[in-house]
Amino acid sequence: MVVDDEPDLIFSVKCGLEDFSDEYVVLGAESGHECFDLLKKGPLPDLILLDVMMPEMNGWDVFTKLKETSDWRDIAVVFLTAKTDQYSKGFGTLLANDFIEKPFEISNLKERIDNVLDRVKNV
Amino acid sequence: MSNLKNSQVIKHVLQILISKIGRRTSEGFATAIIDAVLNELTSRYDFLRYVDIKNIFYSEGIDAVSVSSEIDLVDTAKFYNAIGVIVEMTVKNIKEKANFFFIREVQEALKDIYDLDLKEHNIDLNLMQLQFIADKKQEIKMKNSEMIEIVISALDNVINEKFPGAQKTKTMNNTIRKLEKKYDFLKYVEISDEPTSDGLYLIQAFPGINNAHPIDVAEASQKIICDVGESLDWRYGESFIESIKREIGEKYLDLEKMGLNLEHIKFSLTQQGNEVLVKKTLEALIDTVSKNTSKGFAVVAIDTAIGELEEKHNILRYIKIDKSRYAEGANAIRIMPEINNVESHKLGKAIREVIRMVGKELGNKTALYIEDFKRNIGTKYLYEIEKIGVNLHFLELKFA
Repeated sequence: MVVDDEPDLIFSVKCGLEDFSDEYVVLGAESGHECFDLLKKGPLPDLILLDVMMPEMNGWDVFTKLKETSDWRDIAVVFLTAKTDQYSKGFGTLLANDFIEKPFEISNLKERIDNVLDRVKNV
Repeated sequence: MSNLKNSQVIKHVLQILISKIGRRTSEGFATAIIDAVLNELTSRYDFLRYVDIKNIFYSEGIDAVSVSSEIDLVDTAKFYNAIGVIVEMTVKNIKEKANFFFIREVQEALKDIYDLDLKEHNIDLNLMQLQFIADKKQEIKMKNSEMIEIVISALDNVINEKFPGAQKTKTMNNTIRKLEKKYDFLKYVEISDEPTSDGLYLIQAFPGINNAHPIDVAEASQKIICDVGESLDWRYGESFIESIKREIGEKYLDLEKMGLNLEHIKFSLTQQGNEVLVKKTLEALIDTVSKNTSKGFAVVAIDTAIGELEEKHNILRYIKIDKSRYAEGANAIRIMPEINNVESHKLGKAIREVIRMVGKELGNKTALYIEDFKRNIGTKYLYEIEKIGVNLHFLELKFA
């Protein structure tokens, strides 16, 4: 699932990943609330790409809610951060499964996602 | 009614008893006493054989007790009857070594399960405390007026070194007048506003105070010491209480018989110390992290750091974070009173590691992170955590 207030980014990630392989099914949410609605409906995604800078509910709050909720706690989270945002990178490394700086190449994104999912599976 | 298992209840009660006795005597003595009590009671309550006391040195009173789960099947009424008898018999066994308020101390330490569980099963520690005092009461020759004059004079002399003159006297007077609401008999205590020709402030307790119960006067005296110290922002600790004891001199033994227990103040102040220190540290850390993220996220960060460090610094298990309440910030965090029994240097190490772990990936923002943390915790508590070994400057260098 991609959670980002930019629909263009969601679209390009969806197209990019789904074009790579049928194994990817990408859901998009333009806000934290939409993300929670989708999670409630299910099925749960294997991984959430979470933008940090979003209006209304930012990525930190979305992340907090995910970790508060026992059904969602174990979903892998990768932060999408701005290049200059040292805090997102710093805390992202400690708390999330990974962080990816914007802008990114789809091939790089795919590699990082695959790595995270492999790690999660092994755990 | 709580859902605690018998094994949890007995383990907790015995740990607290061992911890409280151990503080006044020695670890070996505490475990030996409990072991002896259980042995004696096993013929009456055969299920006590499921409890094993390691009669060896233990660590912070935690590992001395092991309880087999078979005890969970024991009939509730019989089980709680045994718990009451264990406490009573323990008190009897250590009578000479226990102070007036031993049972109250145990009750405070057991607060979590006492309110929920023990009281429900008719274990009345308040009653036991009263009985204990009555038993222990000896012939008291000293009058209340003399006791409180001795205590206040000693306090006056100790704080005089730091706060001479009017400020000190005003603080003492204000404290006594404030406490008068709770201890009515303090209306018979006066400290003169003006110094005598010798430069001393006259402390007087009028005979009316002698009608009060000595235990209450002793309690009020302790409270005066605590509150005056607090008002003057005195750094509590051993030296403060020890200085007062030294000032009181050999009369301290008589005062003890009347119920005064300065050890209890020292103990409770030190006790509170760790809890408060950890609370302030975590609050400052939350403020620091949330400045660039959110309060909830800051708590997730702390919880994650603690989770990673708990194996190495097992005292961190005394910090409980409710995962379902992350967004409530500091309210999601509960610090268990057991943390007060932890040695300072161990606590210092653990705190330092939590701060380091939370900020370790911040790269060139690390110095700012440490600076923010220092500002958020404030000078007073910064000094306190540095005293127990949290060297933030060192952390900065380590990060760099």
